[in-house]
Amino acid sequence: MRLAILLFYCACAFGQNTLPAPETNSRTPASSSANKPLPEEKPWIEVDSLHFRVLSNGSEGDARRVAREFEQMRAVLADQFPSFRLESGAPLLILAPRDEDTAKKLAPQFWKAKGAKPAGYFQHGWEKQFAMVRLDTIAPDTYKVVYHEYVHTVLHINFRWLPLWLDEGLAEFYGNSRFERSKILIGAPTIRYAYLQGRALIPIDTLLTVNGRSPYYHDQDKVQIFYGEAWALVHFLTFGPGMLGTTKLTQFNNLLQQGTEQKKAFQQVFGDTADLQKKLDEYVHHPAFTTGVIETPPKLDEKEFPVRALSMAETESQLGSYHLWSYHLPEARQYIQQAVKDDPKLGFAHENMGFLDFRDGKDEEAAREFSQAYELDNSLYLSLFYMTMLSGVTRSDKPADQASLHEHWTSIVSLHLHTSNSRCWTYGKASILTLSAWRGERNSWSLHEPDTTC
Amino acid sequence: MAERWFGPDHDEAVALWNDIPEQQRGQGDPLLEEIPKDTQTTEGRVHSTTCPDDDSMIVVLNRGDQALTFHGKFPFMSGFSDTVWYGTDHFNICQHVEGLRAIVRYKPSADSRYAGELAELEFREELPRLPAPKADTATSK
Repeated sequence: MRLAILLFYCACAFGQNTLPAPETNSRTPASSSANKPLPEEKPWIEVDSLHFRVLSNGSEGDARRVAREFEQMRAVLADQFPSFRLESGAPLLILAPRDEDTAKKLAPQFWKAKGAKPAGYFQHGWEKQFAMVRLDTIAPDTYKVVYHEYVHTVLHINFRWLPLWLDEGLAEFYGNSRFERSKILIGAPTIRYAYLQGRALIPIDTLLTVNGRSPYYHDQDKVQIFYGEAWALVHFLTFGPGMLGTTKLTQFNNLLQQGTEQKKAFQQVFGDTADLQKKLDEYVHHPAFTTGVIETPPKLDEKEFPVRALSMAETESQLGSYHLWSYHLPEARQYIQQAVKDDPKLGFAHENMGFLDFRDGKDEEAAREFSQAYELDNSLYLSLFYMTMLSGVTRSDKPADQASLHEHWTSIVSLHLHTSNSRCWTYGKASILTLSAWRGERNSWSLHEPDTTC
Repeated sequence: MAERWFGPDHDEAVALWNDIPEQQRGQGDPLLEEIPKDTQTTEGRVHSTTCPDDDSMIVVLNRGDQALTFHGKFPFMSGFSDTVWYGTDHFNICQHVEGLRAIVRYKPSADSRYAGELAELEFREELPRLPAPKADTATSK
């Protein structure tokens, strides 16, 4: 493990009564606001760092800072998991609203409920992913919920499955990384650690079996203990006595990925769970936790990140796309229709219009919009994909049609790779592998093995 | 999959598992579908879906010569195969599901217009079948 070690005193986590708003993937449909006029917007700016794209209506400096922090978070994962793929097939777009009012327009569902309002949230998807980080809530730990979800994304593109405690524990462990000017701290206590104080821990044997249906993942009180303990167990299995950094945790995960039953793998690597339980009990009641330090974080000069001002139609298109993927359909419709009106030559606006039509079941109109989008901008791989899939060619067995279909799929994958600036084959549905599976073209699988070098 | 997931994903995995000849499944407890309490199960091909408002839907299922109509009041559990080409970002149980195989868990309806009230709705795609191995016709000498 390429880490120096220091002790992180966790008094900061004690006695806190409030916690940030619970994380969410924001898949709940928002209620209608169809009759509201389109919010008055000025064009947003776009910052492109090496691996992230940030759109903001705030200052250029703040948008650059957000891009740098995401790059730093990515650098933590690159340092800790050198063999991991870090780029998802679903590009991540980071929206950085300047204030609460803008954030509320982006995610109105959070403002309809009582309680603390989020400083940020993350939205997973197969084709696109979004992170929202408010620029008006700058403080340490502000974006940990977002980083937590970003860690999930990276974990999920590298593993078919992880037990829930490990998935959440790793996300909480790395999502709480702290960035300082000359170093990055890993393993700082999660604020949920406070929930473990004065309470009995969940027995490890139970913790290992918690799944998405368990009360430990749903009941308001239990879920905080679950997250706190998942963090503590990952911390202990990383920094605890005899754990050799991440070596043992990696051994355990390797066994899991090879198909070894979890409890058997756990006992094989970490020994008897009753014995481990005692050690964990003692560990969580220590007044201080070891924290890893990356002493030489990558040098990132955020001033070098290219910045440009979007046009009004581009801004509307991007916001429309975000709302479309967030199931805020009335808002999406308003932005997208306005974007097409403002710039009928903008391919991305037509792509979004295609998705709106598709969602309404208007497949012919959708196909026309996707076709027009691709004509205007031949980098739009989703337009080419949907245009192809909606065409009759997918249902034809004629050799010429099949050849055409294969040609289109190859173009889609090539465009996707180019657009996502990734050398890796993606696991999204725009990969030839999946498309071939969809068509049952088993013979072509061997031609399109994923590139495992990335 | 069946051990790690629940709901429609679990059920689809169980169905796949049960397609494997029993003698090839190996040791272990039999896998069972998760069936909501007091429900019956039927399956067929989706003829149509209608979502007249935000709160309810009507599904017409073709089952052999029969057309069965089910009424559903949201929310109820629904799911779909990961192989549906437009995927989770655009999946909508009110659109693009005609022709898919559907597994319906329902409670018999007091309303004679409907075969039942939806408790769970699972959409599945027919997966490509591996060709059966050819019989060895070679004769040994």
